[in-house]
Amino acid sequence: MECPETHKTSLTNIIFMTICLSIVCRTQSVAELIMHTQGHASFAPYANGVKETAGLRPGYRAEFASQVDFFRNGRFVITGLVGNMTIISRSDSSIFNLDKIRYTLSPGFRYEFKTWYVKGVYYHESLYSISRAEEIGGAYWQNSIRLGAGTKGSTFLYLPEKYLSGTEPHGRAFDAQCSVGAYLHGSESIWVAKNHTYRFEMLALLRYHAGSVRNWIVSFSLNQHLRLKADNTSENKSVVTINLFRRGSNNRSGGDIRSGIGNRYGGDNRNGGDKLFGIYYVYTVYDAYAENNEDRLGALGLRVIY
Amino acid sequence: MKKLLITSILLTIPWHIPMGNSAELLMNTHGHITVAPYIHGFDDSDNLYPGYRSEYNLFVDFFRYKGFIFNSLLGTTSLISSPENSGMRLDRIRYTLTPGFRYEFPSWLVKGALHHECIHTISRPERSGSVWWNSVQLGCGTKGSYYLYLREEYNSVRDAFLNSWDAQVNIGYIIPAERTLFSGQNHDYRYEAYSIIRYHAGSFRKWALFGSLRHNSWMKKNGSFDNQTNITLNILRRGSVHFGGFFYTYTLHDSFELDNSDGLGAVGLKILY
Repeated sequence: MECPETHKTSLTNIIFMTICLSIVCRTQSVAELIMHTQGHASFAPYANGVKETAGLRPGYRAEFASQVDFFRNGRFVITGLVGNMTIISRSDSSIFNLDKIRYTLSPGFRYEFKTWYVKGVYYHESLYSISRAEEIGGAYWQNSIRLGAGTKGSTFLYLPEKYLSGTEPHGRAFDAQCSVGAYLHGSESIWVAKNHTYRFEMLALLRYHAGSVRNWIVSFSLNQHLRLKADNTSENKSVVTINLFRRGSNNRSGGDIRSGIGNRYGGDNRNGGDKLFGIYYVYTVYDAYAENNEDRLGALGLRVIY
Repeated sequence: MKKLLITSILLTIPWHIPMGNSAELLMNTHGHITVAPYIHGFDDSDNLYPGYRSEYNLFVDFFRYKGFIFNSLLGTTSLISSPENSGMRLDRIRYTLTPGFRYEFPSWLVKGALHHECIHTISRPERSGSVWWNSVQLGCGTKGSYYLYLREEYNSVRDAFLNSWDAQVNIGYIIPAERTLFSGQNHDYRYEAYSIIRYHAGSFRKWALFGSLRHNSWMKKNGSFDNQTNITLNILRRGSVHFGGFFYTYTLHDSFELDNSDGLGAVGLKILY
């Protein structure tokens, strides 16, 4: 007798969970389970470059992203990134009109050296319309395999550590990272591709740490994202960002409520204590990306880095 | 120009918060990420049955002033269907934005919040627009009933049978829906009550075991109620920094019209940070 499709789906889910459970259970001290979660949340209204048209126009962007370091074996770390960005429009009749949502899912690995790292990820991104039907062709999905390297201070992951450890100079330093990627293409699937003809990509970031004054930290960054299409044409996006962050406190209230032991965080930012919070201004110098275009838009936003 | 002015004013707020005095900028964050496929309780004959549910919740403690901690919850829940001919289809997204405060006592706390929640369809039009509601909430509970303290609690015990209980209760007034951003749209709820009872079984080696019973009620304009009751069993493994593990949740009863999971059971992955 053939198993019904729904039972197959449930069975697949149970098998998947069992495999995950066995991985977690079998983790020995050599490969340490860390579950270290870091990320950022931001909200930014567009401040300049918006053309006052009669219909919908760019309004705001809200973004969550969390990177989880699952396992560590020496310098080798298994990671996962989950995130979403909500693109919000405005019109004459509505100041807040949720327009699109972009999901990001990116499992991968990182190998750390003292001041830099190399990484490889499977990067999934999809873009959906909110509260309305998709345009012709449906939603957009892309998947790529990315390999990259960079100095630690070029990622959000190490920024709190860099600025809060007190062991590194906080000013007049450059950091950079670069990644190359190959897009999956072929059959239409959420894990392969839909509605694009991209083949290769290159991402680069250059960050300048200007310095810190009292509890404030100033940095500048330049992002470049180049996509090559099947017909050998390309799409570029160049973005400059100015960050003004303030250090949060590591003094967490509560402590251990059962034993009465006080603050367990002790200023160790790797253990969830210190965070950065502040204002950023982002200006898209040039953007030819067909999906999610921000050409010559400037946004001023609030950001928490945790 | 107006936005530049507003953001500049916002900028001056953290600038003027002194560090280490009665007012203190905290920026502490915690939260949880889950993904859970439904494994039973759905109708096999339906060609678009519930597939998965994924939550992303981030709590930020912004600053503390004389015992009051001002915070906010930012969250999204993606409801994913499972069509027969493809693995998953994103169906709806539920946003939560809840600025508020809490005041802590040694083992319990009181809290208040302005709770905003909205539900939008993904890739399909709304029949009569999206749904959103705003409520003013007050609540209290023992610290162990909040995720904020759960990790601390289990970090402090090893190989112990805890056999302890925690609970919280919250009530709220839902602002009548008048089709504005700050009132609501497409609902006729007036009051709400949320409660959780949590049982801590214990901590064994690197594992923490606890279960919870959650009950939510919404009272409508006409005096009728929508109720939602579910149980959740958690087995989380202590990482060197945060927690990760598995949970099983079963909805015993659900008559909530806006996001219903009556009789559904799901097994999922949970990261507690």
